[in-house]
Amino acid sequence: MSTLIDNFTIIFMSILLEAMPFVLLGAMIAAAIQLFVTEEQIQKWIPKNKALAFLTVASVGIIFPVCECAIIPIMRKLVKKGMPIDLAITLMLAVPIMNPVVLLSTYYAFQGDWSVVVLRGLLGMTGAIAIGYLSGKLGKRGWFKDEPALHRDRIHLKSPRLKRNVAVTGLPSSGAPEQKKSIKEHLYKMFEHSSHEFYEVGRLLIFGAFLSATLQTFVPRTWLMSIGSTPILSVVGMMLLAFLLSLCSEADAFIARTFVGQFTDGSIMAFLIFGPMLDLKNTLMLGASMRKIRLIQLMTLIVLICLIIGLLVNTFGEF
Amino acid sequence: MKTHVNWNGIIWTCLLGMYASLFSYLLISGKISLYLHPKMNGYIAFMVAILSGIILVNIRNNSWKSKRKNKIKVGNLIFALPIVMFVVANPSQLDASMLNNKGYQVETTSKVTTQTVQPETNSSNPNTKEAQVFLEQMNKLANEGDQMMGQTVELTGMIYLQDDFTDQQFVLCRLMINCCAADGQVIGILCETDSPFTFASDQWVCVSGVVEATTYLDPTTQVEMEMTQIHVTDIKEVESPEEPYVYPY
Repeated sequence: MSTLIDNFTIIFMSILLEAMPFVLLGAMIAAAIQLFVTEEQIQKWIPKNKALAFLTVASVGIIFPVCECAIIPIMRKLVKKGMPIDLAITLMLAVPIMNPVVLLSTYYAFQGDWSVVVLRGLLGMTGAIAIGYLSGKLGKRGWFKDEPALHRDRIHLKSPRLKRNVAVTGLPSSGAPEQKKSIKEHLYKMFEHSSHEFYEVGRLLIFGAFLSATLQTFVPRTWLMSIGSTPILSVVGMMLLAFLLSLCSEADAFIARTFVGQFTDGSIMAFLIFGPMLDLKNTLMLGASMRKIRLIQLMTLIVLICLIIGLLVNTFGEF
Repeated sequence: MKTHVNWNGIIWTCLLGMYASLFSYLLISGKISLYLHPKMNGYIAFMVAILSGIILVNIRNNSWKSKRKNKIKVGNLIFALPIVMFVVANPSQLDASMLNNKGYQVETTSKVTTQTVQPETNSSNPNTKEAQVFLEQMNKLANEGDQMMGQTVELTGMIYLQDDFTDQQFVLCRLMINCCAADGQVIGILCETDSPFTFASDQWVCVSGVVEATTYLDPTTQVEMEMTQIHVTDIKEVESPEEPYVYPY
């Protein structure tokens, strides 16, 4: 029993130690966006042409590499600053895949096979754009728990009642930068925001890591192995594994590689794309700020699109 | 207005302090390597710095005062959990029962080591000399197994046993870490002795033997595979190394 506890503690702590710095980094970047970035800057940065806008946000991870833990608070702040939800969701899903470290580790894991790297990148981007686009069609508002306040702030800016609301929610007035403050004060504000964000997101990370460690310690992987060669069940099985293991996208390619030969190519590609988009710990983290119904809709879309990608690879392609 | 004690603020600041202390201890003592690839150490140091900044700002903002009474938040208890687990368990290594859950696909050793393992000779190589030797030997066995038939090799690693092995079979392995212990994979080679051996799972041993070809029936897929194995001529127990993991890059 004590060795089980030891094993569990090592796995649990290792997931936390790996993810926590990035959650904190994401919290700092989110705080910086909250304090320094304006709506006008977001509008300038995003291309006016919608198709180009989707492609831009889907590939921004190449120059702005952030992992799936850090991107959640960042995405939330970008939406608060006026980024449309369809583009924000595309960004959130694509950035953890279009990360140079992730693509490089995929290259190493698959023995220098560029086709896997290219497929992961292209299919990941395509999937993220599809999910983002469809999410936008579900509705542009009502995604986040504090969104009604944001909506009121924008429309009725001159109302004294809602100006008080802005002070309560901590949201600066739409488009206008914060009043000039010293760098010291900005730094204090950043640390304050980060502290709050780290608490909100971190407790769910810990809970998610606890569940993942439990599964890794107490559930043998051999239970999965029997469905490896089935065209549909293998994809479902690998997606479930990706969800439960909650591995970071910089290392999951090595785990995926161990299934080659025993699992279908489509299921392995689904693992490589679905994992960075959605797993146990980031579902819990998203649940802190996203409305339940929207979270369920988003999860359904992600599952469906990744399932389709996996099945298409099984039907038409091999690597 | 009456000022109350902001217990949540105090507990949160104390928890952050404990986390910063724990991470500093793991870094300074080197015990961090039980959990993470050395490349991640910089991120942990970054985290300690940021947590320290947050603690100072919380103290500066007098976050222990509150205008109203507050109940202890459940989130604080959740944050306390990892610290409690670390102090109570104080683990020393992943044992073989964990490796069983991770699963060792015997035939994939050759696939995993080919090009995946990039032995580096420059100073940024995170492997100890001893681990580096193990990796290079595994690489050679994977890539040049056919040319090595009949050659004698010597390897040091951990014993890993699977239910389908006979009492003369084991895998000599180490755990390969890419980012953290949670993503670790068993990397090793099948070994066969002439008579039943007495070593237990988890034991570190030094094995000498001859490289030969064999067939192995995978119990899950029921597929018989050809692979390289070591026919053991000598096996002795050794002390477990300070750094038991190997790193592919």
